[in-house]
Amino acid sequence: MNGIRKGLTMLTSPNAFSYYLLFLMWAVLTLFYYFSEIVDLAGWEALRWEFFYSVHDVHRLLFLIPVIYAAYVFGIKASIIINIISLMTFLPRALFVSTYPDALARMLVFILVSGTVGYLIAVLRKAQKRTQQ
Amino acid sequence: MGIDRILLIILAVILHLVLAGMLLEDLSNRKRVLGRIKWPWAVVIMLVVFAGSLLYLLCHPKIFYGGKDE
Repeated sequence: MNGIRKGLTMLTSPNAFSYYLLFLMWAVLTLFYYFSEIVDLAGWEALRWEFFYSVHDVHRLLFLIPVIYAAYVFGIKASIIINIISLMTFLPRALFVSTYPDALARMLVFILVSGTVGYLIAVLRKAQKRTQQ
Repeated sequence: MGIDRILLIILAVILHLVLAGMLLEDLSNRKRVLGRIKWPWAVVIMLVVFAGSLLYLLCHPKIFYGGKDE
């Protein structure tokens, strides 16, 4: 029980571990986001699942995880930076890969939502920290 | 080239400039950087789109927490 509490404290306090964990999350999600292109390049026929070739709205939604984590642990500035990095991750697909219409609009709707969620979480966390002190 | 694609390129430029601006502000306020010299970092952040900013972030974790010193 004590170990779990220690782990949670480490995960939720701003330190180097949580910082690099945040970027690890982003890297894994980016691999997932471009998995269909990786499968095509590597020629992994067994992994040609329909899910990886559909509209990437669900895949994009997963990027909320690092945004929320950054907002909760590090605050507004981190949340904004992770939002920008996520948006820049989506751009190559929207520019060169996506065959679906309104790639820009779907991306902007996501970033509007994730930006708002990140901001609100950062504000709430700041208020929570202030009351704890 | 469609209007959608042009808008995406403009968005990419804006995002790069915003991110670079935030990182350059951090760089200018920082007393010490990795490699000790600041100007190569400024060049990398400005000229190597996205990858340069990412590299700066990975090398300076205290941008999100703690002070400006490394």
